Amino acid sequence: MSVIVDLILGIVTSIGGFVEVGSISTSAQAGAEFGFQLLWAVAAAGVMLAMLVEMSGRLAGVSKRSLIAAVRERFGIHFQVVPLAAELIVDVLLLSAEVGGAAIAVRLLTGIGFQWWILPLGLVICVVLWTCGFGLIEYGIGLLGLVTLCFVYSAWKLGPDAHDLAKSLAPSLPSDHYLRYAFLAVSITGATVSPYLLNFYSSGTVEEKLAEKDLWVNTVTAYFGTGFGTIVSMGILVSSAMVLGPRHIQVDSYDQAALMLVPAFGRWAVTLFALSLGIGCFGAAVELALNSGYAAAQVFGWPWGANRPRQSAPQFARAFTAVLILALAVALTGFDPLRVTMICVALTVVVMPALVLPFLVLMNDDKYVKSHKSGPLGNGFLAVLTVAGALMALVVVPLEILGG
Amino acid sequence: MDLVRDVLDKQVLNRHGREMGRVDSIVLELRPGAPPRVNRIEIGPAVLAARIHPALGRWVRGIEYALGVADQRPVKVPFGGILDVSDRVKVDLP
Repeated sequence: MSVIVDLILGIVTSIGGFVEVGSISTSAQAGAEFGFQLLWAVAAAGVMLAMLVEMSGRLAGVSKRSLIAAVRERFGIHFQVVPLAAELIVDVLLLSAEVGGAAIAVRLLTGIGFQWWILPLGLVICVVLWTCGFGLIEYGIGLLGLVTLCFVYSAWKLGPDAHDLAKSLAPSLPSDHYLRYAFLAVSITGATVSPYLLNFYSSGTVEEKLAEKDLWVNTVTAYFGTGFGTIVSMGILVSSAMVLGPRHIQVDSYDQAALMLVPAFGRWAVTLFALSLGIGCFGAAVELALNSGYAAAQVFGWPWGANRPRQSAPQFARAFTAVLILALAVALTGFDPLRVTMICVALTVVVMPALVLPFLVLMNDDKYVKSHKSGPLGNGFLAVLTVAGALMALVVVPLEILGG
Repeated sequence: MDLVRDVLDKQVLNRHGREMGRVDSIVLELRPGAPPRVNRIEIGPAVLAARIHPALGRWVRGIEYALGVADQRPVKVPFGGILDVSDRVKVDLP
């Protein structure tokens, strides 16, 4: 019975925790500028994430190691150091963007400038990190995040043509602005397949002590949770395409993005958008900070775990606190959170090949996954993703400059 | 046993089963006319950083001095203090 409850909670909270600053920005921009045409990129990124999340969970469930711990042991520090350093830099920047996103959400609700909310929000995040266990963080924030389903309701209420939606699930070329289109397609992938998500998920699987016999729970949670979460991202894109696109509103700020909910929710639109943005960003910020602690502790072999008293894992607690302080310092420099987000998603794409490649080895190593190795489909997917990731990594920086 | 594959970078547990770091370095003793012998394993960020680049190791060591933790690091475990090597390395330390 408890497995079924865990399964349902896992799927529901995956939906609630799916949307954050990156997915809102990229999907909203894609919809406003290219209509439904980039829906395929959201779907493809969702499939990629679901498969990688399932593999991270399977690896952790069988080997009782997180992804970062397994990579350190299997490949050594020389292989790990560059992608890990890049991941930590992206984590700090993205964490500052998430805090900025949450602060903008509070500004939308209160009218008081977002810079004033950065430190109070940082303090709340710090309290959550120091006092809450993994379950409360994951399930509590995930359940609150169900407010993001307002984007799906909005898209349904707007009544998009089913044939147009289905047609958009196949990649097609735009009539012009090719570079911008390619940049957004790559950015959607970067915003969805965040490296922190994979290590956070695998660490959570270790924390929750998933038994090998219950691996099916991981599979169902990964595919259904990510699948339904992707539908929320699609809801943002569709709402943006049908509301902002025809009015030629480009998403240069979150205030403009909030307008996409007006036809469906009227005067409640800004409140619902702010709650979605705020809870999504706050949840992602907590997860990002926690993951930085996981990463540091797992690389150095220190005790770690959100379910442990912080005094028994002091280096873990110091690491996530230090990363949070660093991110708050970045956030206080007065940057534009939307711009930082777009830089982060591009950097994520650069790191992607180094993130995917270890999966190919680990998911075929008896020592780590025993008899639960990947089949030809999983291996084929990883091989294609490694090549595609390498190509995207090569083009993303020029695209950021030319089309970003 | 392959030292790099089976020992280096593995999780180290103390005698109570608590995590205390990873095998960041293995120190071998060279003996004239005999094969090298494992002298000790070492645990600590500065040792790990030195494996990446000696200058990075010195830099991390400097941070350890600044933080006042240099006396306790790196943790050196003599070969005789290694209790078990499996998927984790258990050592005879409190």
